[in-house]
Formats: sequence, structure tokens, C-alpha cells
Amino acid sequence: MAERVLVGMSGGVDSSVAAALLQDDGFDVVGVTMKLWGGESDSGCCSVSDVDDARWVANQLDIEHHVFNFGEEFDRHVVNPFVDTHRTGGTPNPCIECNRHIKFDLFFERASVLGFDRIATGHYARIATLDDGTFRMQRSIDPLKDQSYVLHMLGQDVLSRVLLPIGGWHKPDLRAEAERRGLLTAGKPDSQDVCFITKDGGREAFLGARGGLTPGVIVTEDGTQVGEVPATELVTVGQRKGLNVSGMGEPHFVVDVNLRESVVTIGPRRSLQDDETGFIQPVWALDSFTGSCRVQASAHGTAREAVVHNDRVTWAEPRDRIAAGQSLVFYDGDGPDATVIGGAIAT
Amino acid sequence: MLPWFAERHANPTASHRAGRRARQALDEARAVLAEATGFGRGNVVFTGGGTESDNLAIGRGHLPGRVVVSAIEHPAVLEPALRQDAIVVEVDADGVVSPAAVAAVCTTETEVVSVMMVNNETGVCQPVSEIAEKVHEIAPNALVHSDAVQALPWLDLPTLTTGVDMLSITGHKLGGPQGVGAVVVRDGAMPEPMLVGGGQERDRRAGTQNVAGIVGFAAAVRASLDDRDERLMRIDRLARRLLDGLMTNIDGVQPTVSRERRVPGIVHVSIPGVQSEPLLFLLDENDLSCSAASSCASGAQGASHVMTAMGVDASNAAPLRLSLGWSTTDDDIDAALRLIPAAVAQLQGANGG
Repeated sequence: MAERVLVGMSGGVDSSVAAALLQDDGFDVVGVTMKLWGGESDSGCCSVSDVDDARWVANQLDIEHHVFNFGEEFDRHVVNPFVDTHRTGGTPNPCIECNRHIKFDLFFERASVLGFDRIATGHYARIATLDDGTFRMQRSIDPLKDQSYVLHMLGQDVLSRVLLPIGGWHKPDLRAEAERRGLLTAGKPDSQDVCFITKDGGREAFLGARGGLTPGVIVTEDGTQVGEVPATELVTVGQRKGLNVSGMGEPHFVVDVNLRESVVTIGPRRSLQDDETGFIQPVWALDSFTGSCRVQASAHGTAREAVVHNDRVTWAEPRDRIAAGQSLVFYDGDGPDATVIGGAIAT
Repeated sequence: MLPWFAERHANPTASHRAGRRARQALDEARAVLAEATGFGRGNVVFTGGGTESDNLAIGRGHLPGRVVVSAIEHPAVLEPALRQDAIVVEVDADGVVSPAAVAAVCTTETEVVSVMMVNNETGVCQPVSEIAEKVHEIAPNALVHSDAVQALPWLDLPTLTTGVDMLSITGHKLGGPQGVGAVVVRDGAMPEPMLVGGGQERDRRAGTQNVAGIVGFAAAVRASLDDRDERLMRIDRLARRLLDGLMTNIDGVQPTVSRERRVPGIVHVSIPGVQSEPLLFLLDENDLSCSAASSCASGAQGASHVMTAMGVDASNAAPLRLSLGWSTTDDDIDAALRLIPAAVAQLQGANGG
């Protein structure tokens, strides 16, 4: 009997093609749209029209389609921590927390309970099987779309049972394939940004409505006050624009955000350079790791040479400071065949 | 019903022969609904379904606090009421709206009171006549409305709606077509129309009537009236079998409300140690269609406002609502008693329970 696969269908083109490819491969496919965010949204998943699109595509493929309501868990594991991290001056990555707690935890667990052999999603990444039979998250062949960074937390239990059918596709080819198959979503724009933050309101409106924002002062490294910010929570380490500070001679950047005292410290580029970055909450594809590898600090950032220690990485070349709350992802190798060793959250 | 889509298709407001035949069909349908509700033929206003009937009855433009509804009303009542700052009356743990609780919030200025006859999730019958009596004592000018959509297949409305000014009914709970309903309104109690135009339904609801739908609606009501006593006995026996079977075969299953208070067509239980959504998924895979609560527009399961109002904690037990109708058989109950315990066992086993 064919293996049964539960595929997450967001209503976008990527997961639509993923479902179709699984069907081609002979899997018994059932589609699910996860209803995560009930509030205002303009940038992607979870609206009624996206669920309608997913249902339409499922109908085109002649597969069953269901909706799982994970709204409560999404609030608890993604939205509330997003707010909390901002409150402590950090810069969270909610997509990573959603993958960690919802798409590859709750959804995976639900699929298992319902008797499915595997889960699948429309993420741009691949699963590599090593010679010893263990699995690794591997980059997509399309470097512009690679999502291995936001999937770095998957362990062997999930890696051994997840299918990522579009990891071997370049996005333009995938769109053409959706077009060729006549899928409704073939021309649908890519989703951008965080699904629960609207373009009009931004983080300002979102955080403002959830406990308010804290005005702060801007100081230089010697403690001289040079300006004010209306919302300390919205300032990110490394930021240069939007501070309305002039006459500093050379460009100044945010080098520290102290929410407790509502103080934003700015300094010249050289003050932003770090030789090392601390981390907490490491997770590993298999075994814990220390040693040389490449470390990536943002979704589409460059993976740089570094050495991973127990609680920090030391960079081969000094680099711009990484905001607390961002994820560090450790890669074995460089280029599209690189695999994920593990990851952690920068402090 | 079918001829009215084809060879007898005609506009019932037209004066030609075919139109007059269509109008005659509406008159006959009106007579059936009058009989079913205990109102006059002239009191029947056809609508596009239960939601429209409820919206029409609640009306618009009320001042804050002038509308009173129970917490377990269908959203078709709750939504328009809450948009006018209605007073919401809580229910007891059995899901019953007490006449005293309604009376306690009514004043001489109360304009509309709406309490459903039978709750759509629990099947619990509400003391609507007693409520109407109390409301009219306090607020002689208030209109009492009752959503009788779930009651129509089971209850003798004429004897149970004394004092009620407006009733909402629809046909799809008893096998009729969807998208057609009626609000039955006592003389002199008609709220402001929502649809105005060609003056149909005596200026109470403009728009060409859905003749085929209305004929089908009336046919379903006619059939329901004719076999009600026999069907009540039969479905009551099936519902008891179902509930007893579930309680025997699944540890800890509890009926959500007492048997005495509910219509036979709804069995509502709480199943400990499982969640509704995966349970419904497994049952659906086996062609057993049931629900946990209300559904939202996306198709996701939402939390039930009725369970919340009754103080039921759904976090540790899955609410499951099983509906039985005129077509339900012993074989269906056998299938349910085979499938539900198996699905629960699969889910509990997977949770390590």
C-alpha cells in the first residue's frame, strides 16, 4: 500500500506543487491548511482566501483537504514570545518559532496520531541521507529561496519522516511547472515578511496594541544624549536609518538596545564589530558539535567561517553585531550542498 | 419541488396564468407553515433562510440595552444583537436559559427578547413560553422572538410558543432545501423590513420568492408533521442506543446535558483525553460526519460559545455532537458505535494514555 503523506498546503504556489509532485511519486496524499493567525494580516498565510486557494488546488489534484486550527498554540508559541522578546530588546524570528513549535512539532505529532507515515511541506530545502543512515537538513538548490536556515531545528525523528518535494527546484521552474499543470496558485505572489504584521501598521501597531511602546533616549558610547526614540522596542542592533541623529561626523549605528533603562547606544561601525557571539538553546541535527564550520545569522545572510564553542561562536573575521534573539545556524560545508549541523539563539 | 424549476417555472407576482399557479403554490406552502407554527397564513414571511429570519427579527437601530438575548443563541441572533449592545443572559450548567434570569434584565424599555427554542449544539429545550410571559409582564411593548430552526423537526410549536411574537424556521434541518426559510410574525409585530423593493410578502420582504425552494421547504415540513410521533419514538430509541453504547465502550464519556431536557435528534457528549479536531478527522475518513462546535468561515473548528457559556472546559475533553435525523437507521448507530470508540482508542493510544 502506498505511504500516506499529510502535506501542509498554505494556499501558495510552492506547497501546491509540492502536493502535486508527491502525488506523481505515488504517495497517498491528504492536504491540510493550518489556521494559525486569526487577526489582521496582509502578507501571506491564514486568510480565508488562502484556505480557499488551498482547497481549490486540492480539488484540482483530487485529494482531500482539511483545516487544522492551531490558532491557540500559534499565539502561545509564536505571537506571545515575539512580543516578549521585543520587550527585552531582542529581535525575534517568529518564522523559526513557528517551524519549531507548530509546523514540525504540532503538525508532525498530529499526522502521526492520525496514522500518516510522513509529513510534507513546500519549503525550499532538502533532506540528505548520510552514509551512516542519519539525516541532515540540506540547502535548496536555489540559493535565492533556500529555507534551510528557518528549518535548522529539525531532529532525526522529523528529518526521517518529512518530505520536501520542491527542495530540488529553482523557483522560476517551479512556477512554470505550476503553470503547466494549470494550478490555480501558479501566478500567486510570494508571501513576504511575518504573517501577522501588516504593511500599514507594521511592528509598531502590533506591539503598540499589545502593551504599548517605551520611549527612550539615544546616547553615544561616552553617555552623551544625542536624541530620542518613540519606541525602544522597535530599534534593532545594527540599525542606522530612522534615528534622526545628525552631526556625528561618521555614520553611526545602533550598538546596544537596553530596554530596562530605555537607552539606545550608537557608535561608529568599528564599535559594532564583534569577534564572537554568545548563544543559548542550541539544537542539533544529531550530536552536539564544537569546532569549525560555517555560521549563518539571518535568513538570507552569508554563512561565515567560525568556530562553535559550547556557548558562543568565534568568527574568523570580525563581523557586525547580531541582534539578540536572532538564530545562528551551523552548516557543514559551503554552497547548495551544505548541510545543517544545528543552531542556537544569539544573546 | 422539481417542476417549479422547470415546466412550472414562473414569477409568483405575475398576473398571467403560470404566475398565478406559482402564487397558489406559495399560498399552499404558507398554509403548511401556519399549521406547523400555530400562526395564521398571513403571518408567514418567506426569507432566504434562518439567518435572514433571525436578523430580521432582531431588527436594527435599537438603543444599547434594549435587546436581550441568551448566551447560547445561534450567531445569526447573537451577531446582530451584539452590534446593538444587547444584554446577554447567561445559562446554567445544563444549558438552560432561566425565565427569571431573562426577567431580571428586562425593563419597560426592552424592545426585543430572543431565546431559541432548542439549542443547535446541545439539543436542550428552552422554556420559551414562560420567558415570553415574564417579558410581557415587565415590558408590554417588547417583542419576543424565538429561533425555532432546531425545534421544528421535533416539537409541537403551537403548544409551546404561547406569547411568542416571532419565530424563525427553516427547512434544511428536516430534509428540505438550503437557502430558504421563514419568519412567522404575529399581527402588528413586524419589524422594519431589511429588503425593500417590489413589495413581495406584503411589503415585509421584497424580492421574487424562491418558489421551488419554498415548495420543497413546505413539503419537508408536511412530511415532518405527518410522521413526527412515530419518528420521535424511533429516533429517541436510536439516540439512547447511541449514548448508552458510547458510555459503555469509551471510558469516561459523559453526556453534556441531561437526557430529559433535549430533543432526540442531538446527542452531545464529552470524550476525555482526546481533542475534537483529530477525532473528527478520523471519523470523517470513515464517512461518519459530525461536528464539535461551530465552524468558522475557513473551515477550521472554532471553540464553542455554547460550551463556554455552559462552563464546559473543552481543554481536557473533546466535545462531540452527533445529529440524528429522519433518515438515521440502526445500521448508522452500529457504524458509529464501531467507529467512534476505535478512533478514540487510536488517539488515546498515540497520546500514551
